[in-house]
Amino acid sequence: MKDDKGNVVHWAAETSNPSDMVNLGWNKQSFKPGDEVTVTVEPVKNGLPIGRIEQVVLANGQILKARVVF
Amino acid sequence: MLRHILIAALALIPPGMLASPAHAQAALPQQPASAPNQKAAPAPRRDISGTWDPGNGGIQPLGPRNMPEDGKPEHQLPYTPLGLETLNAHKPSNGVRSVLPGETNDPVVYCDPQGMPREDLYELRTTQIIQTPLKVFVLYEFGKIWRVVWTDGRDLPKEPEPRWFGYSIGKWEDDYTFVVETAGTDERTWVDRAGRPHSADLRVEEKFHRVDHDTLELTVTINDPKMYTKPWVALDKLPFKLQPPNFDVREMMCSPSEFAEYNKIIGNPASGQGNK
Repeated sequence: MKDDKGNVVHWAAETSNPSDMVNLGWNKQSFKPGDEVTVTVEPVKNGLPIGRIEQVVLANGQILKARVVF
Repeated sequence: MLRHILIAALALIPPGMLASPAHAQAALPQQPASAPNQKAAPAPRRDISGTWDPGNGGIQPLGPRNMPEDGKPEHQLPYTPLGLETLNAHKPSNGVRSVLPGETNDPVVYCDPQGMPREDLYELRTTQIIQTPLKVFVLYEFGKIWRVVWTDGRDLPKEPEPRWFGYSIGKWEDDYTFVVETAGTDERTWVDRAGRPHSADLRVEEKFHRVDHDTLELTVTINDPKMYTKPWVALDKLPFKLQPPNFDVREMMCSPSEFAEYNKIIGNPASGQGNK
């Protein structure tokens, strides 16, 4: 993503395990390099561009949730 | 605070484990579950075989479903002084005592076997049970682990050698309740994700109760006088639903190389430890 000054910032974001992600509708074809998607993350506390994914909105509007409800 | 980011070439971490389980009787066939809108048939006699799904109730990220470590007084365990001392040496990466990802000493995070009873008390996913004349096999999704529960009438060994999953025997308490006793578990394992401790003297009781054809309930009781002043119930009638015989169980493995990559990209930077 680009920051406020227009610089490209690379984020690293984690999900849950494959069993959970498949149950949530994710699969290996959900993304490919170059796709523009909107990601909501819960960032780490120290301000680095790292976080846990809450959801992803694909270019076609499809929403992929990433949180398991216990 | 949540943050919305628009990214090209999404750098997703591969979703591995990175976010960071009577006496002799004849083999019984697995039977199909009832249709969704159909009332379940009665439980078959002395039969808990099948593929069983506990749903999200088996994940238990804060500790056992009925005794999570969430700071509530009713979930405070009856620790002995040694139990409390050992608990405090365990650094979980979930729950009220959570440390940063790079500081945990949770053995399972490092891909050690969960052992017993933790296989029941953390990441308990789809579970297959196979009954044979002399033993019952329990096959767990997490770690692709299998256990043997002896049903040939033997007793638990008096001085069992330590094993990650201990030594288990099972008996039918009645026609619908199969009770498993486990001893001889390895002291290196934690009881749960929250870091509750156990000693080599731990005894675990698992009570599998088949409520009807499609429902199995699991109750787990922990008894370890070295660590706790009295037994406590970790799981109380956790329900499992019977899956069709052709249900394909997924795999859920801990990968050391994925864990190293996770720490390099996420765990260590998030913990202020650099990208090592």
